[in-house]
Formats: sequence, C-alpha cells, structure tokens
Amino acid sequence: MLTTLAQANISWHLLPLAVAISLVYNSSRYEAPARILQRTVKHFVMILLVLGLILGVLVALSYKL
Amino acid sequence: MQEPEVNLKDPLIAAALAYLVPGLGHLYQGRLFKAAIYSVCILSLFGYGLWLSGGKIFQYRSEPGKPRTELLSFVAQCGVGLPGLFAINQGRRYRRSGDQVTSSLSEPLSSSFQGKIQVQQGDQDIAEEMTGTIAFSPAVGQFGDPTIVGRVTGTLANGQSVDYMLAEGTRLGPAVRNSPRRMVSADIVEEENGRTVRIGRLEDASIPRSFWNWFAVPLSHSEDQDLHRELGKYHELALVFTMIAGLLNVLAVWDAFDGPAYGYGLDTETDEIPGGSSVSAIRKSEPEAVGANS
Repeated sequence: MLTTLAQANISWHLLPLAVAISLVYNSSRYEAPARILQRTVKHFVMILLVLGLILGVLVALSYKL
Repeated sequence: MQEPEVNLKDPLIAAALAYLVPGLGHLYQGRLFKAAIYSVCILSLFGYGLWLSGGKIFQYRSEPGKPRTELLSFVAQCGVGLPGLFAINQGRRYRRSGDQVTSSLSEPLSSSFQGKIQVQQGDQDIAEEMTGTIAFSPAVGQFGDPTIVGRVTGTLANGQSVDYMLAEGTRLGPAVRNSPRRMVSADIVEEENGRTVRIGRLEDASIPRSFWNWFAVPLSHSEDQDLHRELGKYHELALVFTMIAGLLNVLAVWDAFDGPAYGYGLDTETDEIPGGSSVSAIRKSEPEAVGANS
C-alpha cells in the first residue's frame, strides 16, 4: 500500500495527511470518541473544500495562459 | 484552577511520556482511544516520511559557521520525541568521529560482505560480483604503523567458491555515517614463494553498518545534494510528513498535560450554547460533567 501511494500522483498524499491532521487536532480538543470522529469528518471535508477552492481559483487565473 | 474533565493522573509524567512516545502519555492516563489515535496518526506520518527518504531525511546537523535555518525542520521533527533525542546524540557522535576512513582496528571484525572482485591469476581474469563473509584483523605494517589485514571468502556470481587474502592497508569507511552500507577498500594478495604478491582488488565492496551507526546520522553537504537529486519532490514531501508528525505531537503533549480544550461531555464551542456563553463559563457552571470519564 505504501509503495502504491508513493508511486501515485503526489497530490494523493493530501488525503492521509488531512485525515491525520483532522484526527489529531480534534482529539486535542474533545474527549468523547463519537464527537472526535464527527468533528474529524467535518474538518476533513472542510480542508478538501478549501484546497479545492484554491485549486479552482488558480486554474481560473491561469486559464489560457 | 478548573477541575479537569478527565483524570489526567500526574500531568507532568503524562506529558513527558506523550512527548517521548506519541500516545504513551494517554495510555498512562487510561485514555485508550486517544492513545491509539495519536500513536497511529503521528507515528504513521513520521514513519512514512522516513520510508520515503530511506531514513535519510531526519538528522540533526549543526555545523559551526553554517546557517541555522537548516535546524528549523529538525526542530519541528524533534516534536516526535525519542527519535529526536536520538538524532541529537547521533549528530554529536558524527561530529566526534568525523568523516575519517578507518585504517586501523582495536579488535578483529567479521561481517557479511558484498561487492565485486577483480583478480588476475596467471591467464585467468576474474571480474565478478561476490557475496560471502569478510574478516578483518588488526596488524602492524612493515613500517611499524597499525594497519588492517583480512580474508574474504564467498561465492562468485558464477557459483565458484573463492577465498582471498586482503593486503595490509585495507581501509573501511567511517564508522558513523548515514548509509546502511560501509565501504571496504582493499587489495587482494597471495603468498608466492614466501612473498606477498598483489593479484587484484575489491571494487564497490561493502559490509553492513549497524542501525545505530547510520540512522539519523547527519548527511554531509554533498550527500545531502545527492539525496535531493535522487528524491526530487519527494524530498520535500518526506520533510513535510516528518515535520507535521512532530508538530502534531505538540498538540498531543498539551492534551496529556492539560486535557482537551473542550472537556468530556462539553462538546460544543459556542455555536450550540444559547446566548453565546463561553465554554469556560460552562465548565465552571457545570461541575457535574467533571470526572464523568474518570
């Protein structure tokens, strides 16, 4: 699995990184496991949306360049 | 001071354990779920970064006169605990031992071996890959200086078994260096009518270097440049993974020391609190939530 990830496009590394950051960050803020997991999902989606938005802006700015 | 929502036991001990091994402090406090999250997430990120770089991305390199900016990445990585302390010690060992090749030994050394031999015996030229064992022993050279001699035995790539004597002046790579292989440089000799005659040499030969003598040892400037060339963008990726792992452990250490920002049962920040009351106010006004998990 590690080899597959390493050979894939470098952008795919964002997924495990975002999951780990969301999990650890929310674990440091909450104690109840259910709440940690719920907030982790929320943060993970938020990270992807924000980065997707930035990607969209960059694509738009570089359109026809 | 507010009552903690969880039983933190001795916060200082928990924080120290959490720093040394991610998750260990929470295990000590009996917070198993968090211990699992911290250890799996942080150690996985750190381990993956190391794996991407072949273990070479993690080092404490502090050379006099060199810019200290290189230390910034190590400061972040160091958050992961024991490996950071180990790397500091490796940096000191590397500076003490230097980059000197070993041309004398205090005691015999035996090890597995791989490399290439080039030998000319009569009309026969041998240039083959070889694996086997190599034994070095300390000796006194013809001018009274300490030197190394040895013997290499093994099998050539074509299946032929061989046994050769190594000449005085055999050299080994530095004892402490960031590479799992230690280079060997030696001439091959044989006895002929009571005289020692050079018949060939070892090429690209190496013996394994122990984990303690290569892991987290600083790279030289040229080795670092080679690593950049070899890994390309994965150099930065490995650096990011290991740095983020270290930084995330800072959150884990603080959680072990002071508990979560929002305690057990107090699972809202301000959005679910009528009138926008602060969490700290709720924590103080709802003592029944205290110890619910202890």
